[in-house]
Formats: sequence, C-alpha cells, structure tokens
Amino acid sequence: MGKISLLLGALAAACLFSLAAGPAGLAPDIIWNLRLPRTLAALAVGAGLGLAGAMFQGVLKNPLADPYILGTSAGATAAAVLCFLAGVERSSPVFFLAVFAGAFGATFLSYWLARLAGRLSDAALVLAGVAVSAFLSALVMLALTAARERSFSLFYFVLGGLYSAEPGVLAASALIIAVCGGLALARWRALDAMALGAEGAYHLGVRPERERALFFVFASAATSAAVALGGTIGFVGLMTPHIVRLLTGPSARTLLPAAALGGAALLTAADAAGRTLFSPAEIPAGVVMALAGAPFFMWLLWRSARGRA
Amino acid sequence: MAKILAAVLLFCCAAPARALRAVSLLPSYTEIIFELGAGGDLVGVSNFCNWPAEAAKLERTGDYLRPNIEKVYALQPDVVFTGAWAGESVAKQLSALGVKVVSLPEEKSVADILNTVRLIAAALGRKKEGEALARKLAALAPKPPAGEPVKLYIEVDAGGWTTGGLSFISDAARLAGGRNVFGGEKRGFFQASWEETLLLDPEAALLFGVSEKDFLARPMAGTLAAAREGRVITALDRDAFTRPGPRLFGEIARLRSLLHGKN
Amino acid sequence: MPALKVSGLTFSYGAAPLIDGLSFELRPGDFMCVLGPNGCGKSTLLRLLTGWQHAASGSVRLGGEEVAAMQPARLARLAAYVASETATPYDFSVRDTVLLGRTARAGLWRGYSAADGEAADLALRETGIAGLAGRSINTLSTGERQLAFIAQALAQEARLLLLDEPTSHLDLKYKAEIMGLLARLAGRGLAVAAVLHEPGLARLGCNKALLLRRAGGYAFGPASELVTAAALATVYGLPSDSPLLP
Repeated sequence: MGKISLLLGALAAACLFSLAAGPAGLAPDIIWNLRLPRTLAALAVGAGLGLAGAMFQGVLKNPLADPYILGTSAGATAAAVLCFLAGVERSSPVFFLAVFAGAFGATFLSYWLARLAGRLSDAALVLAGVAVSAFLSALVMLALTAARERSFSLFYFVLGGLYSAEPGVLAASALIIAVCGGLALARWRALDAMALGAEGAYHLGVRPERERALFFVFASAATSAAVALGGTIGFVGLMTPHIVRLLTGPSARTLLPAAALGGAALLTAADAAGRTLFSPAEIPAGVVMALAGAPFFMWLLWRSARGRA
Repeated sequence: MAKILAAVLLFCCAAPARALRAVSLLPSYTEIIFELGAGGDLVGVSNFCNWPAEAAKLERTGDYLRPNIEKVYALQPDVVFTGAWAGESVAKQLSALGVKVVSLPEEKSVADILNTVRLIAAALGRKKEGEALARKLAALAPKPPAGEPVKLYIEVDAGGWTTGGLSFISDAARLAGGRNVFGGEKRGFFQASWEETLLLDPEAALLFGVSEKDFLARPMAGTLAAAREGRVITALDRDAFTRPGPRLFGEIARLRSLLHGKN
Repeated sequence: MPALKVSGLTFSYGAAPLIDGLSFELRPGDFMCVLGPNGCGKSTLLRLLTGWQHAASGSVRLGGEEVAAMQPARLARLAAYVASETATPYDFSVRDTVLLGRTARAGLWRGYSAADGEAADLALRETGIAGLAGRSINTLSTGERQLAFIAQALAQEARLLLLDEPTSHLDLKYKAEIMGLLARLAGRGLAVAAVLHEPGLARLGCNKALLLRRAGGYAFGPASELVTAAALATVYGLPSDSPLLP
C-alpha cells in the first residue's frame, strides 16, 4: 500500500534525523548512548499520543478531541507536582507510577463524574473532563504559589520534554503503548461502528457502552504512559489523526497504525529539531509542536471553509 | 527651667531619627538590607525572603513576580525596593499611589551586585555602611586566582538549566577560578542540550537542582572529565549562590577552594 | 413462523403509558406501515423492537427468540434498523459505510471477506447507488444518504427490516423509489416495517398497517382496511374529508 510506505518513509527519515543531528556529528558513542534512547522515547510517546488521539476522536465522534480531553494531562501534572513537593526524584520509578496513576485517575474521575450526573453522553463526558482539568490545574497553581521553591524544570514538565529518558521507564511506557495499540486494533471495526453513534453501533451488532469503556481504557493508558515518559506534549495527539486521515481514510483499520507511525515520526522530528535548531539551547518538543500547531489549525480552517464554499 | 529645656533637647537629639519604613520585594535586597544593619527598617518582604531568620518574621507582600500592591501600600513604606523581575507595572502602580520606588537594575555581573549594595544603602541614608559592605564583599572575591580556570558546568535547575555569559552566576564562577562552559553564549538563563554539555567536557560540575547520583545516571555522564575526577559539586547553598546578594561572595570563596584547593 | 411476534408490549416515559399491551405479528413478505400522530410512540416502538430501549412488560420475539435475551451481534443478524438520521462526522466512503453492515457477521478484528464484499455490492445495486460507491458519504444528497443507510441495513442480510421515517426529508421521486424498493424486498421474503408520516405512501406496497393512537391505543390489521380516510381521521384528529387523507 503506497500510503503506508509513505508513512514508513517519513518515520525512517525522522529517525535518521534524530540519530544523526547534533553538535557531536556522527560520533558512534553519542548516537548509541544518547541519541538512540532519546529517539526511542520520542517514537514511543509520539505513537502513544497519535493512537490515543485517533481513538478519542473516533469514540467521542469529535474531530477536536485530543488525548488530554478527559483530564489526563491535568492529572499527570498534579501528580508530578505532588512528587516534586514530596521530594520524589524525577528518575525514580515512584515518579513514573505516580504520574501514570494521576493521568489515568483523572480520566476515570471524569468518567465517574459524568456517570454520577446521570449523563454519559459524549458532550457530558467532555464537560466533565473540562471540569476535572480546570480543577486540577488550579490545584497545581495553588500548590506552586504556596511552595517556597520555584522550579523551572517543573513548569517545563508541562510543556513536555524528553531530556533524560530512563531505560526502565522507556521500556514500561513502550510496552503499555504497544499493548493498548494492539488491543485497540484488534477491535477496529467497533471503533468505526461507534462513529455512527451509540444507537447506530448497537443496531450493527456492537455493544456501545462496552466498546466505549474499552477504548477509553486503551486510550487513557496509552496517554498516561506517554505523559509519564515525556511530559504533557501537546498537538501530537490532535494533529496526527487529521493528517493521516487524509492519507489512509477514516477507517480505524488503517487509521490506528497510521496514527501510531505518523505520531512517532512527527514527534521524533520535532524533538530532533528542538535539540538542534538553537544549539546549545534546547527547545522542548512540546514548544516545537505548538509552533507547528498554529499553522496547522489555520490550514484546517481554510480546508473546511473551502469544502463548504 | 533651663535644666528641663536641656533635658528635652537632649532627649530629642538622642532619640533616633524617625525610623525609615522600607519594603523589599526581592530576597537579594532583603539580605543586603540586613547586612547593612538596616534590618530594623524593613516592614515588609517578599514571600521568598527567608534569610536571615529575622526576615521570616516580617510581613509578607506576595511573590516577587506579582507582589500584592495593596499590601505594600498598606504598610505605608517610605521606600520600596523592586527590581527587573517584578516588571515595570509594579513600579508604575506604586508611584501612582505616591510611594517612593527604587527600581534596581538587573545584576548581570558581580560588580553589579556591589552597585546594588551602594544604591540600596544610599536610599536608606546609610552611605557609609554601604561603602563598607561593598568593600568587605569585594575583598572576599577580588579577582580570579592565578592559574588556568577550571572548565565548569553550572546546572541551576534540573533538566539542563544553565546560564550563559550574561549572568552574575557566570561571573561568580569566573571569580572563583572557573570558566562557565556556556559562558560564551550571549544569553541569561536557558536549557542546554545534554549532548552539547558532553561535547564541552567540563572539568567540574556545580549542581543545584539535582543530586550527584542522578547526574551521574545520565547517559554517558561517566565520560565527563568532571565525573572521572570526582569533581561533582553539590555542596554549595543554592539560595546563597543563585541570589545576587551578599552571601554569594562567601560561596565564591568556597567554590574557589573546592576548585583550586586551599589557595 | 412469524418473523416478528410482539405480545403485550407496554412502555411509558412518565406516568402515562405510551404503549399499552401492544400485540401483533409480522410474517416474511409483510410490509407494514406504522402510522400515528407525533408523540404517540412510533419511533419508540421501533426501538423497543430492537432492544435499544427496554419495555416495562411484554415480549418481542424475533424468529422465535426473545429479543431481550439476545446478544447485539445475534440481533443484528436477524433484524436491521435504519434510523431517520445518522450523523457522520468522518468521511467514510459509501461502500465502507455499507460494509459496516457486515459487522455482526464479520466480527470486530478480521478484514472483510469476499462474501462481505459481495453482500455490500449487492445491496448497493439493489438500492441503485452502485455508482456512488466510491464517494464520501458526506457529499451525498439527503435522498442518496438515506439509500446508503438502507443499503447498509440490507448488507446485514437480516430477515426483518425496520425503518424510522425513511422518506421524511425526501422529494417525491425518492419517496416513490424507496417505497418501491421496500415493497420489492418484502416480495422477496423480508419482513419490513416502516414508520411513515404520510398515509398516502402506504398505498405504494404496504399490506399491513399499525395505527398508534395517543395513550396506548392501537389498531393492527390489513392496510386496505386501516389506511382509510375514516380510520385515519380519528387517529390524526383531522376532518374525514381532509385532502391530506387517502
């Protein structure tokens, strides 16, 4: 399939860029010990966020959904701040587990709040997610204002960065993302059916509540693993499904693998660019993605206006 | 009658001049004011002013990026010391309320700090004490020691946050006999790529936001000259070194002895 | 063996019963129209028949099996439902949309087989939109869209076809075309039930009629007896000489 080979080509190019670019040139030591783990981390985070974005956009029938829509990033940041205030080291496994739990927990909280309100419609879920995000973000701000220390490294956790990826964390995150992606792909037709609405999906022979819950779990776990590894990097989850949908069409059977490949390629390229464009200063990958995000949204707007005209 | 008059006159002269009411919006200014012996003049300090211990007992006026203007005004200060961090609007708002504001320029070198000392002293009417303090501090770190400066990597915050040449921290390292590996960069605070740091191969590392163990756990950290020679320094006081205040000079002296032995 | 057997179906949204003790049967080859004023429960009835909503009491049996006890996948193989409107946020092609009708038979993870493709192509031909197969569903006119979703239902190869207002937003040509298609399908042995707003359409092929009145009353029987001006006038509350009645 020409489209998939295009994506694979983009992925290979991004990897080459990431491995070869840097002030040390092509020093094998640096490539193996430094750039390779970093590239692998970018691949994992990009794939995880791309997958999660595609899943949320499908199951919520909302083209503007991103992986953080149900409060995932706010939960991760809150957990990171708690760890920071408690003195937990960024490199310790406790940090990883806490951020993962915080991210996943916030998503679960949104779901539970919507359920408490008795309304599990997609709009209600998104609203609950907004509420949870706002609340947790406010808590984070409060904690940081009250804290005696002020740490730039924590603020930049929010923007996302792959500065030092621990191999254990990388392996754990990559595994979670791969498993969630595989399990989601194994029921791709359910995701397509869900795009026709819960009632439509039911009449096609799918259990909408169960499928929605399953995809939420897969998408939230993938997002949480990505955030625990690389911080809250924005735009990848939102942009990637839109870009690859143009190539492969909306069916999850091709969209999910394409979103994983595309997200991996995008983020790896963005991370490599952030590392090398302003050397020795390093721009976090999240900032590079945000810079690319604005023109992307202008393009989306132009395209939809053109379609309507 | 004359005796009473004399006693009254004596009393008036002997009474201290009406105490100046000063508010300091930055921790470094607070420390300088206390070192000048004018701690009694302070009626308000920022939330982050934690040295000396007496400063903790003073009224808090908010954090230094966004001080609480009303609180500052309510303290009825005669002079407010603010700096580049707080932004212009603070100075403008307070001036508009009729409060005297002394806006100190950002310190980009160690000499700038001594200048700040003199400016603060002048505003408090203690020029003599200001000169004396400036001389005393300068004596602690007069000039770099003889010999080749040690290539130094300074990490102010975890994640590669370091300073370029436009920072008093870089200058302080110079006076301690070190050379900031990123000193050639024409910038202040920034996040440096780890690969670049490895390439520059510093001979010593001065760490403030991260433990030695975590630093050495970074990929290829073992190849650094600093790691091989065991010159990973985490012993300096972070507040003392990263604030452009009086304690910096003592830390410069400590850094010098750590880098060059007992010179 | 009736394709669909409803006994004593009762349902209410609030205190007053909407559907009360409804019973009827549909055999293969029947084409039943469901008529009645707004709010009398026509759409609700269809949803009760497929199990999307649950009745307070009564039973619905599809081919002898109780719907309430069925898995959705089994249900989708026996009964197909076409909603009055379906939102399509993403640009699936018409053929892919029709292929989704094979979900119950294809499962969730394997690709579409040759049999799936044939069923989809047959459904496209029967609805007359084979030429639109490659177009995005969002570029179709309302009438073409309705045909696409009917094709999706046909691809399910079910024995019962339920349609909720299939002609409401369509012009006369499409109204006639769809009624003709449904009559043909009934002629081939499907059991078809369609909620209609225009009694006149019933003459285009319906042999049975279900008239729903407010507060649970109903009448079921041959279309020739029930789709008459006299019966419908009371149901709709119109004068019996109204030009809107057949």
